[in-house]
Amino acid sequence: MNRCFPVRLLALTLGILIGLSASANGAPPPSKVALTGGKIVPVVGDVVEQGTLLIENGTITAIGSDVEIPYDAMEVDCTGKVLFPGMFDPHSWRGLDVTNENLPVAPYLDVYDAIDPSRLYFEDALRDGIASIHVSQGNNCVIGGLTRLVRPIGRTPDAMTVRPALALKISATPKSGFDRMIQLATLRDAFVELDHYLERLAERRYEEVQKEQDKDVDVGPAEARRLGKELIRPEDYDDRHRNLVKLRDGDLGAWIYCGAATDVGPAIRVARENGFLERTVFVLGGDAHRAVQEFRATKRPVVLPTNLTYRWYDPVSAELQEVFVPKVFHDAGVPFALQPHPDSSLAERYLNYQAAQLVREGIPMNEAYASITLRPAEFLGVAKQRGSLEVGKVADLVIFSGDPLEFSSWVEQVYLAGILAYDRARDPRLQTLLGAPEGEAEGDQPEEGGSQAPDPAADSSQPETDQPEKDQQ
Amino acid sequence: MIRQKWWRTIGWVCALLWAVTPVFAQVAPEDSGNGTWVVQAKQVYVGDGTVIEGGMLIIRDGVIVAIGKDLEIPSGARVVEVPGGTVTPGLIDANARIESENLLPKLRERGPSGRSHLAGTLPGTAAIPAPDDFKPEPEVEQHEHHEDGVIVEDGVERDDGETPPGDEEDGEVRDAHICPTCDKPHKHASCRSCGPGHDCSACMACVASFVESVGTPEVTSGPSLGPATSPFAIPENGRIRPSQVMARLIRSDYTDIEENLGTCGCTHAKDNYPEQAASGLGPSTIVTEQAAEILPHTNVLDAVDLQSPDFERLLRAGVTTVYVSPDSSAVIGCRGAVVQTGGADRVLRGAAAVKATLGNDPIWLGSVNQGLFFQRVARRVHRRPTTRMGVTWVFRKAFHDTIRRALGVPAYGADTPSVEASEVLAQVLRGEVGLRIQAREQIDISAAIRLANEFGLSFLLEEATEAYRCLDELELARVPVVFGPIFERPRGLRAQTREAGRSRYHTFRSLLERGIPTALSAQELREEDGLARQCMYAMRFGVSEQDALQAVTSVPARLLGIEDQVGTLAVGKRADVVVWSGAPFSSISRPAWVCVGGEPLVSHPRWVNVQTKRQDSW
Repeated sequence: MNRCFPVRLLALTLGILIGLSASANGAPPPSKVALTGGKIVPVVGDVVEQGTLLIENGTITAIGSDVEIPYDAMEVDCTGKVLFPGMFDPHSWRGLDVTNENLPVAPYLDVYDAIDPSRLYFEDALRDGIASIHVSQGNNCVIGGLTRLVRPIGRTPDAMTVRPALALKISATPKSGFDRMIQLATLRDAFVELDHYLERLAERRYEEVQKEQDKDVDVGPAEARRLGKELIRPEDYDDRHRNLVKLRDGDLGAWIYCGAATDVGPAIRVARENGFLERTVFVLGGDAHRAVQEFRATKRPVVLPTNLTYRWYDPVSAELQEVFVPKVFHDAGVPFALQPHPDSSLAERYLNYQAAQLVREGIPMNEAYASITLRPAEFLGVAKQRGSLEVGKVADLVIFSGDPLEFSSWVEQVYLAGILAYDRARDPRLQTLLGAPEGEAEGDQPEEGGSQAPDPAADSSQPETDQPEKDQQ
Repeated sequence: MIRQKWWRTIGWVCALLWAVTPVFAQVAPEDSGNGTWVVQAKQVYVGDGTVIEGGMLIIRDGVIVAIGKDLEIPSGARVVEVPGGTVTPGLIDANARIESENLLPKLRERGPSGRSHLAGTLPGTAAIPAPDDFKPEPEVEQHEHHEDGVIVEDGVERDDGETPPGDEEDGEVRDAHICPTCDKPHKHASCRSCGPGHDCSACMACVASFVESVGTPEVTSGPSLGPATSPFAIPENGRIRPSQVMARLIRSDYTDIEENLGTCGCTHAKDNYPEQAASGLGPSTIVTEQAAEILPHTNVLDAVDLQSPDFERLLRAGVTTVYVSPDSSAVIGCRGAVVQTGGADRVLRGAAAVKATLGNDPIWLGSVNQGLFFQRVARRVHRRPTTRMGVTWVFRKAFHDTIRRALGVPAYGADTPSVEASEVLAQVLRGEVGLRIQAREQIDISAAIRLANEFGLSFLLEEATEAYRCLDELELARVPVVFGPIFERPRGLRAQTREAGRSRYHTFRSLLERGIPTALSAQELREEDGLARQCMYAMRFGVSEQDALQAVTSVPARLLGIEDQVGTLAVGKRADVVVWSGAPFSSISRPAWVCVGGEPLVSHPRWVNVQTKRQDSW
């Protein structure tokens, strides 16, 4: 019995997959979609109270109150609803099967190998209106490996990918079993070792080139290293060092986790010494907001901790103290992005609720909107394509039933690259939780595949708009 | 040089921190003018469903003295104005878990030998002296047999000539060997060995048949909530309630009988006190005494630090009154307390309802007795229930033994409640002390209703995660519910219980739709998951704003029996008032001004504008 079980499970999974792909190939998505009558919150630019957003081949081609709808466009009535850019989860490892927590220095790892498209997290992300997820190694590392920007739809990591090899994950906070001295020594050592490796490589390359030209090695080792530097080709780097070289040479950014204010100084020093400070984004935890002036001085953006209010008991008076972290950065003029709170029992799991907290504490509405859309897009280097509703950008958008910051608003639909990827009316899991009559929820079950049928990721040639992005790498 | 720079940085950071820390100004009493406060906002939500647009509220000496539109502002009054804000009653959490951290460290200080000291000094463990008038073998009086000694209708007893067993003359010692119902040897239908010479008092079937003969409660329909006098105000509507019979049977002098039993030579006598096997101390989350399984004679208020910062957190979130609920580590745990989160007169009710727990919690929480011994040893020593059957058994036996004691019948065995516990349980049976049963899964909710029917108990259901699966049953039994918290996926302790996996968004809404009196609670959750946010969640899942507000104001006030003091904004009630910066449960608003008993304790200058109305010129 037991031995049969995995086989059965596999067969069942295969069956479902085949069923899904069959239905997916059944109906090609319309190339032109006109979303009419809704309130458009573009984040960049003015709010359109009742307007039309036109999508052609996955790209936004027109926004406004008097847009002419092409005769061949599929018209979707959004009256009473609100159109909002697809939100960003700027830093998450929950899409991974298991993170690497064993090897401290692993710049050669890529989250690509561990992204598990079947994780419930991706389904949830879609349900919550998150259109882009920056998947990264966890914080329990020294140099974690390459990160990747994906969207929460698709059956393979390739199909999900928006941008591969986006940045290198680094942690300045001690991983488990390490103290701060070991952590930072290990981090510095990785770059010292890189220097040694490059010297050896240069020497070897000089000798190789001399040999190719049938010449003797007639200089000392120091001179050979100097001369050999010019001769190193990109393919000469081995896997262990390639990404670190890219990091230094400006082809790769770094996302550095600082779990406490004390980690910020050393993190900045290491980044500056190795020349990648201007491509660094800091991911904060704990009381790292206390180092706000450091971020301000270095003009570096930050991803805020999941708990937006930092609370502590004063060690002397034992009184409860609290500080609203986004306000600290807003007042200091440091750009920031918000994360959903994975451990919250409900509200803070929603990015739009996180943004609502900002408005509650007196941060301007547009800054709150940007912190979950445009800012993370900027940090990730995709702001030209995503992060707001503007003509020419990828049509990643969320249709809310009401004000995006009001918690009673639901994500009604999510469009990814102009294709309907989520529809609340056809979300059987949600209907069950909300207590819909059983028959109704059951009846929708087979249509779940249908709602995701025009899966842009299933067909790699589908979202042409993404192709140039990949090429930019 | 570097050090200097660092210091400068730290200085800047500190200065900035100081600057941005939200200021919850403590308004000094001398600021309050002549003690009169006027609260003005866009809307006033009274708490019973009515809304006064542009209303205002006048508070004097801690009491609401006027409420309405266009009231004349008394001269010298302090006027609190929140433009665009909403005034609501202070929120009430009817099932709050307070972080009370001060009990266990103190106990730990006693060191390893503290256990035995504790055990030795617990009441009831000392040898009980024999009373002078104790008769080892009382005579059996022959008398006419009656099927039912007492018939009760509409709460008025009709005596059929025979003195009811409970109203016997003092000094008459009950013979343990005759039927407890009629003081006469006779055969109980449900007992196989019943007859002359059979010890009915030691036979559970006989006691059960006695309870049966008195009658089981009939389920009747009635108004949603009854008068405030009864602990949970469930209407009786003339049905025969065993608890009323018990009320007459169970008299406060039964402890004398118990003492007699202590010297009867019975080998079980000393096993009556589970405190003898005092267990170790639980983890810091547990405040319920772990020395026994049945502890209704202990009080959670003894373990609550009224200065705990937890109360401040609640206060800032607009919660002004909490029912401090004990944890669920004992089948019948301690009594809760109704406490205000701020102000002068903090304790509204010191010893409130008894907390009982069904389900998995007493098994896994209660067995974590890691004091001296390892868990396994502690478990063996202490004989905690280890299954649902065991939990139900302990609950049932506690009440059975209370009845037996009341009837002058010895109670013995491993899970026998102490005399002090029985005293309180007798009050529960009489309906003088409320009973709250925590049950999460459907199986436990059903068990709670079954057990309550068995003993004719009114109770209040706590947590009720799976209430959506037994709505019919709850509706029929007319059990009020303190539901909550609402969550998407369980986390923390709740996840560990393994009883929270089948929660639904719609449970709270469904309870309201069925007309079951339901209050909403956040339990241990605070801030973004706290009570106001629970209302926000409820609204997301289809509950109207006014219904959500009532579930945290007037409904819990009625369930706790304090609606004459708090729960709505009405003239004469305590001035527990929250002014929100916008709509009460909107994600972009927060409590801007909170006052408890007329004392403003939270005032957020960003929204609140306080002015003093000048004295009239003469």
